[in-house]
Amino acid sequence: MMARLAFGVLFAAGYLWLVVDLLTVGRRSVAAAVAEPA
Amino acid sequence: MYRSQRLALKYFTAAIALFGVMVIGGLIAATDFVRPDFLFPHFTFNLAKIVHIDGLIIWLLMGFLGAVYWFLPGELGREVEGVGLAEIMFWILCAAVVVVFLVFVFVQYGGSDEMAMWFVNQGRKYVEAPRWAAIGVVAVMLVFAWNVVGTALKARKMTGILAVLIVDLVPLVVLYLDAFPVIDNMSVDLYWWWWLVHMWVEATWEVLIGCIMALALMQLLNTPRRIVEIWLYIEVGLVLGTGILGLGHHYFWIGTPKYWLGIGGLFSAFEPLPLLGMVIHAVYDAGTQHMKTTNRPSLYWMMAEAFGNFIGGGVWGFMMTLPQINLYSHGTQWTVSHGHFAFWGAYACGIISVIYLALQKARGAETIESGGWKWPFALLNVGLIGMVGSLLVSGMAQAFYERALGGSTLQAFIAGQSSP
Repeated sequence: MMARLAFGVLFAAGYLWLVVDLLTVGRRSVAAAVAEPA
Repeated sequence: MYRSQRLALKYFTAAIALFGVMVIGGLIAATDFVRPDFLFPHFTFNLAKIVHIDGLIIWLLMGFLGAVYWFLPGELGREVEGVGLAEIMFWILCAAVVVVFLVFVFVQYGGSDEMAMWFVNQGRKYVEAPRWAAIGVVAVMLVFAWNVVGTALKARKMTGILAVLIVDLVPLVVLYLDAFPVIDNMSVDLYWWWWLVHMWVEATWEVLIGCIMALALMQLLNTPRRIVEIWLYIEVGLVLGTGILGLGHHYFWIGTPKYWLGIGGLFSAFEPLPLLGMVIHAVYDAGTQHMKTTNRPSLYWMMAEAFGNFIGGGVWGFMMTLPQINLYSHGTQWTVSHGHFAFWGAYACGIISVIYLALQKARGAETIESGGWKWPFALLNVGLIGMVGSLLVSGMAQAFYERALGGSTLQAFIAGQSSP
């Protein structure tokens, strides 16, 4: 029963990271492209 | 960007937010197993369960709506018909979800009367939402159906994928009406309730995600339309051919006639077949492109969808579907293991894949180069597999100790609870 809770916490951590990634994905690529010297 | 695509992004945002609420419900429920008095009596296990499973259904529905609103203008070459009304319905849906959630948490229960049915909780699993909110969901779905059909009519255009989607919308919407009846006889009540639950997740939703994945594959891997459409027809034919009578695998225990044991067992045993087809289809498409894509996270999540759908839904489901096995596994954590794996693999992964695809286009990124998606992909999938595995172990222990050895007596149940 601890195992399922532990993996659930792992899952929750993944969810939080997913939220961060969804908020930033694509923006970084654009930013990186803009920052590149011509 | 089309207006309906902006709406799609709003739906995706709401979906991911509700996903978070679902996770909180799940964590509280899991903690309750370890510490039964956690947050008691303010946030009990049954409340956590309602938040968890209702949050699941609504976030997935929002994801589906978002996905269709995203792809529809591209498919038909014009703005979605009735998009203004769709935008209003989005905000109404969000408000309704918030109100229902607050009522669930702070009011929790009413008397066994019409007031409670209308404003608090209708009592049946997955469709606990009070009647006023259930009516709201029907309204949202009807507007959604009009958006799809009306746009096709105005565009004077039809594609194979859209035809399948539109035909699927009919049972999808009509079946939800099963959320309303109040039936005295428990066998009859459950008989009809299962039409909604099974025919949603094991029939109409599978068709819906098949259509969405077909649309996504064309964008993600430039798969030719003819190929995705042929696969879609095969998959849908098999899903309905196996899933409609496969409904019978929910009729083993509820007091329906004995012939359901045979019919349900036989047809549901074949339900994994179309899901296997989806795996082969997805892997084949990826292979012909040598896994080259401009959106790696979307591709990975789509592969997770294909495999998760087959293994979580098909294999895990098959494990329990034969009546001879179900006799021991019914109502154990084995079922919970299957439920988590199947919902994740069949629907959640697909929606996340589409969200990455949409965000790439919305933010004008030519490729998704950064690796920031890898850790969430790993943590979510490892976390999910871990939960599935531990639930399977405890479920099999229940089936073995409580049921098979213990003969399903009360003493066996109690002895089973104290097993670590």
